[in-house]
Amino acid sequence: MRNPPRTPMTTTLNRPLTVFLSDPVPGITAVPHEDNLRYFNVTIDGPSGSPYEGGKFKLELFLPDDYPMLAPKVRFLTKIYHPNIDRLGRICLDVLKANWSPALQVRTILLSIQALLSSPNPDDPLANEVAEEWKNNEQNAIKTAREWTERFAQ
Amino acid sequence: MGNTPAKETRSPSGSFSKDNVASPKSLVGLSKRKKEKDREKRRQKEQHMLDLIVRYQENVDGGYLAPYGNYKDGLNYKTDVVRELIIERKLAPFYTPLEDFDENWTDSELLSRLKRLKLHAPTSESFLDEDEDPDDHKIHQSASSMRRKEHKAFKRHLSEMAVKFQRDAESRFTRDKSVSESGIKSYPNIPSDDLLLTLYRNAVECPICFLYYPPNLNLSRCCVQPICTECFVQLKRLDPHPPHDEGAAPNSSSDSEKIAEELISEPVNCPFCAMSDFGVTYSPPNLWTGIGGRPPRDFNFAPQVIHEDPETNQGPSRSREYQRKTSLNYAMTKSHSASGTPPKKPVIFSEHRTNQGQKSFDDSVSINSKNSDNSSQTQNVAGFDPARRRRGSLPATAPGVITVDLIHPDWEQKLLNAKSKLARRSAAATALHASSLIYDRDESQHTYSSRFERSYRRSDSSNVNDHNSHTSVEERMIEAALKLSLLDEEERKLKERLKR
Repeated sequence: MRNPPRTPMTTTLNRPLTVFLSDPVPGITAVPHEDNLRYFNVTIDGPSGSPYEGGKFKLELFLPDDYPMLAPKVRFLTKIYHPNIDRLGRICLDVLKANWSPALQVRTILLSIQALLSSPNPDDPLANEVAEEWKNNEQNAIKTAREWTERFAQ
Repeated sequence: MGNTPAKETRSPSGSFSKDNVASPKSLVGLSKRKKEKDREKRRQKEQHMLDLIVRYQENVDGGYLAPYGNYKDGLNYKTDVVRELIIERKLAPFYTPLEDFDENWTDSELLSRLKRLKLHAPTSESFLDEDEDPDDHKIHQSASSMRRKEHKAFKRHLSEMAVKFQRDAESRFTRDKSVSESGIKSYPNIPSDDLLLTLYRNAVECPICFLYYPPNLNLSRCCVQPICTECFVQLKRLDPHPPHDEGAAPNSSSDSEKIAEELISEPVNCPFCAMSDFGVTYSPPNLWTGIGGRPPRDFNFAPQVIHEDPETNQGPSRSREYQRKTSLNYAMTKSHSASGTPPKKPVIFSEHRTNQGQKSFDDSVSINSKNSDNSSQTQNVAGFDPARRRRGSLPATAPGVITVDLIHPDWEQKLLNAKSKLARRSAAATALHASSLIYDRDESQHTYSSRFERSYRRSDSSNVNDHNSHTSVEERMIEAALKLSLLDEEERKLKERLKR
């Protein structure tokens, strides 16, 4: 099915983004696509003290038509070894699903993702194998995460 | 090629859009009752569309009865309920938003921005997708495909009409505004400068859409956070879903039946504090302009002064100063005139109308909430603002609380539909399963016979050996059919109950 031609952004969409873009968060960038302002190229710096430190992770972020009533869609483009992020880059994060609220903003979401990198949660896994490794042999898992960061997130 | 016949079959569908009343051909296979229902549905949709047009004549305290258009979708709230609530001043009117705001703007800077505001956000011409119907390439189109097309044509027609009506309303507003400004003639519903300034002088940002509105926003019942009406009407329940996200796909029929029963629809959580069953309260500013009040043209800062000096409107420096003061606690503005001793004519008029407004307000409230509403009204008249003083949270059932469910009452019907759809599917699956058992059985005996033959043969000459298994299978099929009809009946009953 073809998508209907996108109309220019509505004011509603415009404002939160202006707010976000004018007040950047350290370690996070978000640049809208030229041809589709709902689509963003995002980078998140791996938080210090985590196995992702020193890495620059690329993500894509898309604001659906119903945003902000529906959560933005976010996905990692950079390969990452993390129990809550699967091979396709999908992220298991409550605020992206059931706990989304229209009062949350793009910046809150990106900050939450950054926080997820600092504190992986293997008890609520999306990538099962990674989670197993994380639970059974945390040191090894962290080592792999660090290796992946060096290999893919530079 | 098959082009010509396809066109011929398509031609009747073109005529459907001409009139709302569908031509008999289009509704092949529909009973009279269904046709009537169809017509009624269309009528409701038209009314809904008309309710969403912002007309400047329909204003309450400087806001309107229809949304500005920040959201182009999701406007399926109950427009009649919301319009009524706004008129009763139980919900903030739809104010035209300012995209940015600076409190250091001078009055004239602010005014010039306010006067450039439109009634509605720019509407894009028809953004309906023109994807093809699956039956487009068939020579004979199914009745349902015709209905789909008809429905699409109707939708397109509606959205075109909406754009046209809004454009008309807009040009009327622009015209009347410029005539009023030129001083040739004044229109009662064009707001006075004083009204605009009073409203927007202390504009606040709605935390969801980040647009600026007059400070009398709705407040969340639970955590007393502001939310504009346009964002509020966007909030609605999610579609019915199983209690847990990660439910395994139902395999056996009993499982899916259970799941149908277990489908839930949860009330919307507060976007700010996540408390369940979101609702807002609203306390109107003491302006009382528009419906149920005096004409917005006649609103001014200092009614008492006007009594002596009708030229105050032009704004001598003295009144400018006065403005600043009044606009700061603008909610008190009218308390001057309401409690003031020498009520001049327009005030009497407005008070009279106000009382009427209150009357209808009270009438619409259930008896047990009458007392508290009365007291809040008297407080209002005395210049107090209960909601602004409100600190604690209110239960969803408290008088004056407008819940999401109140303006989206269709959730119950949706849940029911989802349940019966799922149950129907599982019953159909059972029936299919049962009939496939028959086929399997017969297959072994008459491998080469066609299905028709098989089923035909089965009906009149069933094998004696198979008799028992057949009856058991038939029993199951009957059971499934019974279940389906029971479901239908249940659905019908609930629909009737909902209607009442």
